[in-house]
Amino acid sequence: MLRDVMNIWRKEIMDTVRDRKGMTQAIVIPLVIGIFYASFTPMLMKAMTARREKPLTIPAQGVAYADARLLDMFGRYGITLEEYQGDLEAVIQDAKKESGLVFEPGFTEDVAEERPAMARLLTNSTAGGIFGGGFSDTRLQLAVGAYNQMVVAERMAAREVDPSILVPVALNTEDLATPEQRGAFFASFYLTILVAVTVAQGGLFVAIDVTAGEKERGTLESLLVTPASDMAVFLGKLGAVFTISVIPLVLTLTAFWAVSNLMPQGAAGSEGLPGFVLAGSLLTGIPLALVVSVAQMMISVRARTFRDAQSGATPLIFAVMIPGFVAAFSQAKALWACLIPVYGPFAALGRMAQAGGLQWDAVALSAVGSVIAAAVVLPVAVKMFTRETLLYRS
Amino acid sequence: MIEVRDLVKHYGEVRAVDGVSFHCPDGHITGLLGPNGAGKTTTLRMICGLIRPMQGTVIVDGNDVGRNPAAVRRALGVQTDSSGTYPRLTPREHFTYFGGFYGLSGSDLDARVQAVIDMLGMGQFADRRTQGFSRGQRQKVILGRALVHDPKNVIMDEPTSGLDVMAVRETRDVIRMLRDRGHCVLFTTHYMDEAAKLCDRVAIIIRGRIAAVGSPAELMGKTGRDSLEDAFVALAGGAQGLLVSEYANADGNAHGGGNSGSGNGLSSTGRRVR
Repeated sequence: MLRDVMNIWRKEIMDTVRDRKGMTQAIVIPLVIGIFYASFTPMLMKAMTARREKPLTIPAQGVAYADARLLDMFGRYGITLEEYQGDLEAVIQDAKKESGLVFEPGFTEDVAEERPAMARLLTNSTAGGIFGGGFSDTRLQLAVGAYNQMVVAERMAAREVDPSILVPVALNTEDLATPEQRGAFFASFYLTILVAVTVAQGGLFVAIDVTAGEKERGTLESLLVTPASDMAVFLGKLGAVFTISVIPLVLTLTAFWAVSNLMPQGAAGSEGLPGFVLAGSLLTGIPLALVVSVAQMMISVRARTFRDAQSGATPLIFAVMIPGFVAAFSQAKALWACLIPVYGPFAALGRMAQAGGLQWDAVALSAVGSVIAAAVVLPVAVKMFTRETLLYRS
Repeated sequence: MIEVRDLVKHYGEVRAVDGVSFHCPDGHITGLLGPNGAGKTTTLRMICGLIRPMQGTVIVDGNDVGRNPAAVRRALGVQTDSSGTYPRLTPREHFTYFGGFYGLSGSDLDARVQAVIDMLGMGQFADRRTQGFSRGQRQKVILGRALVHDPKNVIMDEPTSGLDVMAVRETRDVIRMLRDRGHCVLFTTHYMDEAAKLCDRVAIIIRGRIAAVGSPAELMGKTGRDSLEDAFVALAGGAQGLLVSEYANADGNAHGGGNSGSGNGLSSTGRRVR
């Protein structure tokens, strides 16, 4: 039987590798997603930093009323006020300008005489894209906050009062997380989603192609009239599906790990992504891929056409991704939870992120959970995969 | 040799195959003839072990398909009615893949694959992927993968259907060559002239039952017709008989067939279990 299994496995792998569309779906897309996730955070951070440091010119009205020291403070924050002639509210509302400032007459005098000096900050959070109105608003508020602190300090000094009385609690925050924990924590969310997406999608195309695809092409009957047993045919095809599931998983996670360590401020934070996270993700993800491959085969076997199988497999994608999301967002991940099929691998990944190291007990339990699930589902799938069922009952 | 004994297969109330018996000796071409939906393909599928019969047996070279389906499949080469190939594989790869299921490997397998390519005249396209092949080329691939292990018994389901004249001639030549080499050949066809030219024996199946078995000459003699087509129509109960509804009354039908092709007379007119 092993010989038949290997014969089918070899042929299915060769057939799949030659299928550009299938390979794109199975390998290239998850790989791109992995690289994107790994590089998205640093790109975002870089864009935010650039925006924060970029000189900002704000349209303003009544600039002449403003305190000279406030204008000086704006200057320190890279903000220049430019007198605007016209309807400032209208241009901001129309999103032609992101933000604007309006100073009322007597502003400087109010500050000098210790009365609340009034200014209006006009902003449109939708203007200028995601780094537009909101960012201008924040920078202006930071500058005004710094000015306020400076003025308050001067006023208290004039009254011979120690400004520290305004700070009853001095809270010094110390992050005791190790660099490994920080790296794993930052990455675990992305990794959980990556494992879920890759495992759910990786072998699906192949599972459909080797079952419903064979029916649709009219090649299945020729295979079933050979002496190969139903079990051999099923296992050969399952082996190919599992192999093609594992390849994108390995590639995607390795790419994610490599990019995270190559790019500063990557998805794993400035610490980079520790190697144990990659190892743990693979050790939990590969057994999960086995369970999902069997389930994909079960669904595809019942379908008459490629399209039928794709429709039927959609709930399975969610069945893998939802536990992944639940694990990514939940805090407590008990050790026993690692045994739960599908959820367990993600729980194990979360535990490793929290512990900052490879957790063999969690990995082993998640693998056992996955293997048990596969062992339970496999006989059912093989029973469904009989010659008569395949040909006539779908 | 293939022996079919009293095969029965019902789908719900529909009697797809209802007590079919005939045999196909070695060194003979046996044609299984019948109109669409008569039960030809279902019968062939039961012979190959793709469908389990509700009753009856199939013996291929002494092996019972119910008891030892793998041995039966090893003794068979089956050209199915599906004309599908793996588009990303070449004919040579098809033959190597299928040959692997019959214990062939290494140089023996390579030699058999090359022999089939030569036999079917596929040298020019043996190493091209089958994507875009003509119907005739695809049919050769399907035929080749059925013959790669040099089976003693060959089953072909409408092997010339949809082929052009040259491809039909080539296929018929292969069928004759197999017969001349002592193989047992069982094939189905719609074409009566083809059956008359090729077949040593013919089993006519109508609405799931064997209506008659014999050589084309015997069937023509039995019905007093001078062509197999006319004999076929007469055995089917006339042209009206071929068109009769499957819901027709089954009263008074005759059970054709019997062991070893001793079939006789007219077929039943009904297929429904009552």
